Amino acid sequence: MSRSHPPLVALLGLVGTLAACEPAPACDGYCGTAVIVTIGDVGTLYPPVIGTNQEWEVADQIFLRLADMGLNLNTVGDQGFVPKLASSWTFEDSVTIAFRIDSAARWQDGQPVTAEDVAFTFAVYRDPATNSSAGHLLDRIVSVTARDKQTAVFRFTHPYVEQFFDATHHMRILPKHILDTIPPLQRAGHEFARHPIGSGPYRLVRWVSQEAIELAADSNFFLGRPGLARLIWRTFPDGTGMVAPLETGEADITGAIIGPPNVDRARQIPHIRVIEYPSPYYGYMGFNFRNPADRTRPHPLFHDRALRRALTMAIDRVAITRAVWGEYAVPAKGPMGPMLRTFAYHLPQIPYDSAAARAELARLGWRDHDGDGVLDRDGQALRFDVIAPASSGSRIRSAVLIQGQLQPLGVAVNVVELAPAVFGQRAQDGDFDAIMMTWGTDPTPSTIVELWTTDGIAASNWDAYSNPEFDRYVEQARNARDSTDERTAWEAAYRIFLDDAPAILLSSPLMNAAVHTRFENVTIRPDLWATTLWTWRIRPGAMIDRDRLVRRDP
Amino acid sequence: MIRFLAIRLVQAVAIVFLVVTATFFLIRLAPGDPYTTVTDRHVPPEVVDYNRHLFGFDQPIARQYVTYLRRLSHGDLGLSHRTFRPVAERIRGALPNTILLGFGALLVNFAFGIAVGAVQAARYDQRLDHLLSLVTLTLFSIPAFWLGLLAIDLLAVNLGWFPTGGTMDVVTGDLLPFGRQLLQRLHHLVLPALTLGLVSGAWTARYMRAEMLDVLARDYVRTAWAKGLPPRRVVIHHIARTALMPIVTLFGMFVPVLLSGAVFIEYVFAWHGLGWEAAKAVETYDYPMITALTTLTAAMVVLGNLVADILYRIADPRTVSS
Amino acid sequence: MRRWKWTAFALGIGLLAWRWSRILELLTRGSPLDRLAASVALALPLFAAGALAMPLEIRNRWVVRVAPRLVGGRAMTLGLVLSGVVCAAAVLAPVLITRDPVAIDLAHRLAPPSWAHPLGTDLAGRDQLSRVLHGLRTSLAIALPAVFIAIVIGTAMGTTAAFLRRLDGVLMRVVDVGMAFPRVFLLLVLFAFWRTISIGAMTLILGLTGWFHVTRLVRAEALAMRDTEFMLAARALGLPAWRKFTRHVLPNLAAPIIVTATLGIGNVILIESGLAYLGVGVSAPTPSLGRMINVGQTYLFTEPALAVVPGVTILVTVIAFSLLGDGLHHALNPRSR
Repeated sequence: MSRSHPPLVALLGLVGTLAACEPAPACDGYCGTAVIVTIGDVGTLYPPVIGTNQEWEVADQIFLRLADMGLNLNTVGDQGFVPKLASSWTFEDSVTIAFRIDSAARWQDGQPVTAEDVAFTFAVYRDPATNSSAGHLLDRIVSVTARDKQTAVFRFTHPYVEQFFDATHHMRILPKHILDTIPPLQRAGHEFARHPIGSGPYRLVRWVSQEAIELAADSNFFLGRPGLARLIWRTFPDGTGMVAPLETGEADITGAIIGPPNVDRARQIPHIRVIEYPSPYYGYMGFNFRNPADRTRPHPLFHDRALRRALTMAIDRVAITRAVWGEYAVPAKGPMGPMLRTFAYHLPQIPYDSAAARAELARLGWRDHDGDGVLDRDGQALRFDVIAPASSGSRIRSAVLIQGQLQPLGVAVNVVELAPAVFGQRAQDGDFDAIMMTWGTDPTPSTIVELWTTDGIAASNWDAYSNPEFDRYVEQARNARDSTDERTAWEAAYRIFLDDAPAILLSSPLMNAAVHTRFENVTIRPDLWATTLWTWRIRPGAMIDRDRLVRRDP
Repeated sequence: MIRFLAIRLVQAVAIVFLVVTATFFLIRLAPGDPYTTVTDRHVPPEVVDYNRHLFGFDQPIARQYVTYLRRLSHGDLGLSHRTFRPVAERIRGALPNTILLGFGALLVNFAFGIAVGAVQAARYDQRLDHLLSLVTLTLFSIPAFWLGLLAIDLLAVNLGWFPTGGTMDVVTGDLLPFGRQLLQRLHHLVLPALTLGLVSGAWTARYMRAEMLDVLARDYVRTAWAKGLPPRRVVIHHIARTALMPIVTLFGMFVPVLLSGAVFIEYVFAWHGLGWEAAKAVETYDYPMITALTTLTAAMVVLGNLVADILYRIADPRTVSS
Repeated sequence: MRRWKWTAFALGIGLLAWRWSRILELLTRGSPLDRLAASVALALPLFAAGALAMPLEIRNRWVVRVAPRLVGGRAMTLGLVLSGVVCAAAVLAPVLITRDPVAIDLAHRLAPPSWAHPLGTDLAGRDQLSRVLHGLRTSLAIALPAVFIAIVIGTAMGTTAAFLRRLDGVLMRVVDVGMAFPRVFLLLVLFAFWRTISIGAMTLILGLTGWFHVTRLVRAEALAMRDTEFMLAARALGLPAWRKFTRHVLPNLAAPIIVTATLGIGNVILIESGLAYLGVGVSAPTPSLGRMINVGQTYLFTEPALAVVPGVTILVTVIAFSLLGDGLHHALNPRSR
């Protein structure tokens, strides 16, 4: 013990020296680093095959559309749309729109963006080999041609109010000169998906799988310099840990806080501002119209409209919403989320009336003949399974609450929790009696086609709900030529839907974003919060250390 | 020695080969075509055909097996079902992180285990011994992921001493000079390695305690003491050498244990490693990834055992492995 | 000694009287596990009565022969008692609990501990205590048979490897391959292919993946035993193989096997809850402690009880079995410390 310990001293000295080294110096005027927390995994940045929100968050900074919706999410005509790659447009006739491509628009490799790129993009999205989920959304566009280098002409099948939306919203414009050289079937797995070249305000600089994705701003972006020089995304496997980095100051932004307790926690953080905004989601318990054992025959219980209505009447969805979500959701009003413009329509709901439900069931002939506590009729018990994915606590809780509310009436509901992949499989196969579903839709009410119309049965209408009158009104709304006709048709369609009660509508959760207080000019477009990210700025005098840490090389 | 090495190497390769084969055929046992069950049913037929061809499912199973082995020998682990990118790409990113976590945990494990075991042996049947027994008992009964959650809550969020997860600071990451970067990575390594290391270190401590007590009672040690050798010399030369032998055995055992534990720890700490990839691959039914991971982990375990055997041989040439 | 038996008897009678109707209900309409619980509840006072009524000479013979081997000191007693309590709680869960674990009660969400809800309630107002007990029951229902399977297979393989030299090489290579897989990875791989897991399937899979180290252990012990004097004597006497096995080998293997088994139970519980935490394993609605931790972790900072209670339950259970294993190890190997 009397000897000194040279090795230890040397070690301490080394550590001290290393600790004293400073990182790269300051940012020369163009500053700002935002660290964004996101859940899940970013697998690809090739727009036609992107499927998850976290991938869109990043891809939206790299790729541009012809024009972007305004913050009010209006999809009728071109009101509120902001020019992006297209500097202007003309409605040449009732089925043609001509877009003028901004001559200053450039790809990130320096090449100019031309109308050929637009035509090429359309061909890619429509090509079955691309297998893009957005392909069928472009059904009503007949052709996209390049009249000249700067003019792209869209021709539609017929006149309808959402032409402009269809032309601009679904496609991110892709570089023809790069992708043309790759055979279509190989594009999804190509290097391009990991090192994308777009025309947007940010460029991909670094991608460490599962850890971080870093984007650097293009200070010469033709629409103006982005407010922040650096954007870094950090991924987490699930929602639990996502607020911790916000608390400790390691992260600045998250677009969607998962879970009410996390929202509460985020609200307590002094340097974080929580912004609530409407979501595209609506959750429900759907009735299967077909017999799961034999899809050609109707469901023994749920083909009966009166029964469906009676069950719907027995459910207090305001109480369920409050119990499951607290103040972070509103009761669902129809087959649309609060984000949609149609959410504001006045639609009569089936009222909550437990006594009336009980009477109605009795009137329909459901009685407890064998004294087991469960209603039955002609030997068939009023008993069914409802499936829910084990990963969604809210859906399971809602199912349990429904079970609890129906049980006193003599309806036996069995909640079946399934692993997410199994749930997805059974949902697609129509292998269920009732299902706890939540949909998040596009900003257009037209999404209802794949979810609830007869045509949609081949797509995502797994409940196999089919009402020709409903289909007709939906078609009418989609083909309406002016907004008044459109609104009338949608309202009629929704009324039929609510009357038919193909599902017990439950809750529409609200979204909450957490943003550091040093950012200003913060706007959130409800369908994808990161769309306006490039316009956010740092309040003068509010810069923190990492804002000054900017990469030297472009 | 050379002969021993050669035999063990051949055995190691054989084991890995068996593991690869077992996994390969296990996948094919699963009901249905592993490719089509995962995809969206609305995929157009030519894309399905192309993908089937890409993943080789249009060939007879024997052919598939041979192709797989051939590709494996070149280091081609196949394409991920989910992203269509080479599996090796993701593994290349994940592997070093798991190895880092493994070594960190092993370090904590042995440091804690040896120290505690030695102290317990020295203070046998006294209060300290009993207290430490309680500690080690608790540590190896605690679910590692639960301990991790508590550690993050206490040390990262409440006290702010450590980062909340990840392998490095995403902001400053590679902007820093190498030395500083290294320190940063070590800083991020502390909590996960500590959690995993302490939980497995409890085993080492108990083992060490038993071993040292055993050795302390042996005749030649008593002889050394009787001869009047200084205590420290006795401890180091006689006891430690013999007692540390089992540690080498434990090293071989710990590789699979740590890899298993890493799955949970990596999930909790958002540590991008093989464990996280495995959990993700299982969630998304990414068969090529699962096969690749199983092969890789088996290879790592076998390697660990081989190293342990060699060390054992070097340390004590008298022993003959069974 | 007699005092304990009277206490057990009184407790048993008390339990019967208090939960008479529930026991009947479980016997007639419950699942197999429920019926087991009811039977055990019925059997308790009978067992105690029998012990009380046993003639002194028989009892003393038992006490004299068996008890000394079980003297293990404090750790052992504590482990035995704790394990006993845990197992009893788990088995008797349906009889003991007064609340239905799936009964929702919106008015009392996240209630603090009270007389009606000793551990509070969860997000849907369900009683935490009953949920935890049911989860514990699931964990033990998986762990005990799984370890049993692993022990049986492992012992068979180990003794075969030790006594049939021809199969030794092959068997040990199989064991090497089996031990080369990290167990959790192997389980993840298996669970990837079978999408819905019942308790039975999970038990089987855990058992089938856990026998490798038992084989190694048994083989080592059996090999050591092969050349001892009594074995040589048995061989000289010309005893048949099975006789040698059952009379001489097995009893001496019993000690390490029992210790491995008890430690194995704790290990399997940890693995099963870890997998449940990741979302893999026994599918809902069967309650599971690991999944409760997963659900509760989002609320770790606002409602810590949701994740802490199941975590502590796992901890206490594994400690109980570890203590028991430790105690047995010391009791059955007098030389070790």
